[in-house]
Parts: sequence; structure tokens; C-alpha cells
Amino acid sequence: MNSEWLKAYSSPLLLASLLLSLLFAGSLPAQDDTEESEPNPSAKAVWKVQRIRGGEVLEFEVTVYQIPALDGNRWVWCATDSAGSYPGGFPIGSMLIRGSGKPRPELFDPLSPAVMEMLLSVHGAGTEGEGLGWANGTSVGLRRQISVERVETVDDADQVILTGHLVGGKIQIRGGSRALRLSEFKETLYLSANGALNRAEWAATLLRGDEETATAEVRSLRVERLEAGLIEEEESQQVESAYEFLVPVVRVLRKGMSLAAVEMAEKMFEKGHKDHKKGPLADVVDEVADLLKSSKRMASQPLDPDVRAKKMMGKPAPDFSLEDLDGKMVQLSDFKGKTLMVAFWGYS
Amino acid sequence: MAINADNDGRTRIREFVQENQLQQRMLVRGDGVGFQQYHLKRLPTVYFINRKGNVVGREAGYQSYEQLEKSLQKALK
Repeated sequence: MNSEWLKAYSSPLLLASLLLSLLFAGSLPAQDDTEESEPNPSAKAVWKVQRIRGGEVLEFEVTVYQIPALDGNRWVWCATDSAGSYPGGFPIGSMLIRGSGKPRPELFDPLSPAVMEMLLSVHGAGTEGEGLGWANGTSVGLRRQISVERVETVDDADQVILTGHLVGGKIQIRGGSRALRLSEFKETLYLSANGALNRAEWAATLLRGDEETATAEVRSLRVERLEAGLIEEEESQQVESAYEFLVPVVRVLRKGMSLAAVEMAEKMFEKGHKDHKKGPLADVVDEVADLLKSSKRMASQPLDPDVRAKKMMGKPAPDFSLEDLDGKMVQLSDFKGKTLMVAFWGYS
Repeated sequence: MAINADNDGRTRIREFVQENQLQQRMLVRGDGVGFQQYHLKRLPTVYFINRKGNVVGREAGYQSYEQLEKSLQKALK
């Protein structure tokens, strides 16, 4: 990063923007929608995200650009995971935030549920001090507010730590034969002295099934802001135009994997990808190019898997490596010279 | 070997292995490999691969022990 970014990092305007956009925005409970507000300045933030659900760990980094939109701000996000690919199958999407405050659910672009969950959680992180309050259940995949008791811990002059615990005993989330109860919930927010959210952790234990047979599932979401800064108007416009160019392409791809759809997306992409190849979203342009290529390969095959499988007969088995239950990597080609029976199964 | 292609959690898979006293090498998170490389339509699906590493058979859906053995004999030839 260059020195301009460093300057931006310490500017009061930026702090104001972070305060508005990453923190107070959409904070609980009700907010006055009619309040007139200045649009937030264009900014960029990079977040590191770790989501754990039922033993599965998803780690990714998401770059969020805040750009002015007609009715507030738009957060354009681009995401990559630790392996260099993107979570949820698509590398880009956006969320509209009305005025300086509430996100508009009807305009969510849920291209990647994991990223949207993270954005909503950060957006809805509460800032009240000690006492009873609400935490955003989106962080652990529960679309509801969770009543928490907050204990404020001030570590030192630079940092405020807010810890919230579930109020009362268990909370029934869903009844019936597939009962789901929330038995523990903990929210920890790390704020700088000026109120900006630096880091947040949400952890929940859910019980599935009735009292006797219930199995516990641990879910957590951890987010950490790696960097943040204001961006120039020019960069903001480049992000906006690249986003407007890329999203329809990705949407067409997402609608269907038919060859016609993929070819349409390809045509749309070819029309303008050169204009965005050097801009701030250059990496995303490359990702979408790869996505198009692999989608085309998939779409050119016969639709019926059984028909595709027939073509495999008598040919070398496609090699792969997967982890076993103990985390050891196993590669198919290690078994060469042996007759193999490979059973694909699912728990159902 | 057996590959879980349903993205079940490891705990559930372990339970299943213990309950059924399975002896196979159990691989996890095989949904990508299964559906993209091995063209699964339904689970379970069994592939037979001969000594040379070529695919020689595929049985989709539940199979009786006898059926599986017959297919395996074919693959051993």
C-alpha cells in the first residue's frame, strides 16, 4: 500500500465514514428512516473472515468498496478464500444501504450467502454499552435478533471490548420434530476508542433434536478488519463501472448452466472486459474470465450425468486427492495396480 | 474406498462408520470430485476401476451384495 493510503487511514473523514458505514449504520433497534443524511465518502476496507459451522471451516478475505449510490451507499464486495478462489461460487456482489443507515433487504444481491452473512453482521453490530441489548443473529445463520446482556470491558485508552451473553436459558428457534434450540451465544466486539469496529466474534451452540437425543452444533463467525482507507473519486467510479459491467455477466451465469446462457454471458463479457482489465477490479475480471471458461466446459457436456458417465468407460479414471477422516490426503493414483471399488455415498 | 459426496460433517460420518463397522478407507468432502469428475446422478454410486486405472463399471443406486460382487468379478478380469 502507498503512503496516500496511510494518510487516508488516519484522516478524520475516514473515521467518520467508518463510524457511519461499518458501525452505526443499521445499529439496533429502530432507526429513523426519514433522517436526511450526507452520502458517505468513497472508501475501501479489507476484512478477514472465518466461519465455522458443524466442523466445516470457511476462510476468506473480502474487499468492500463503499461507493455513492442513488439512495445512499452501495457496498461492492469482491471475495477470495485462502485457496485463492471465492466462497459461494461467485466473486462479486453488492449490498445497498439506504441513506447512511439500514441495508435494504430487497436489494441484497445474495450471490454468495457467506459474504452477505458477514456483511450484514458487521453492518448490524451493536454499539450500546453495558446492559441489555440485541445481537445480530445473522452472524450465526439465525435470521433474528438475539437478546444479550452486555458487559463492557475497557482494556485501555485505545480499545473498547463489548461482550454480550445470551439472556436467560435456551431459546427455541424451531419446534416440531426437527427442533432447534440456541443454548449459548456470545458476542465480542472490539472497537477502537473512536468507535470503529476492528474485530468481532460471534459464537453459538445450537441443539438439534428433542431434549434426550439433542446433538450440539457449534457455529461461529470471526471478522477482522485488515485495512481501511478513503479512495479517490476516480477509483470509486472505476469500481462502480466495473461492477456494473461484471454483475450482469455473473447473473446470467448464475441463472442457468445451459450453453445458450453461458454463450450469452461470454458475449457480454467480451464486449467490455478490456476496459476494466487494469482497474481496481482487475483480479475479479480475471476470475470471471476463468468462471466463464469452466462454465462453458461444463455446459458443453450432455445434461444427463448418466450419459456423461458412459463416456468414461474404458478410459483412465480421473485422478483426485481428498482428505480421509483423519485429515490425511489420499490420492486415487496411489492405488495404481490394484482393483478398486469406489463408492460415493451420502448420509440420507 | 468410500467417499462421502454429501458434505456431511466428520462427526456424522464417524458415527456412520462406527454404526455400520465399515472397513473401507473413508474420504470426505467428495462432492466436487463426485459431481464434476465422476458425473454422479444419485447416491450411492459405485465405480469400478481396474488394475490399469481404467474405469470399467458404474452402478448407480443401492445394490445388493451379489450384484456388487458380480460387478467386481467383471472388473477383476
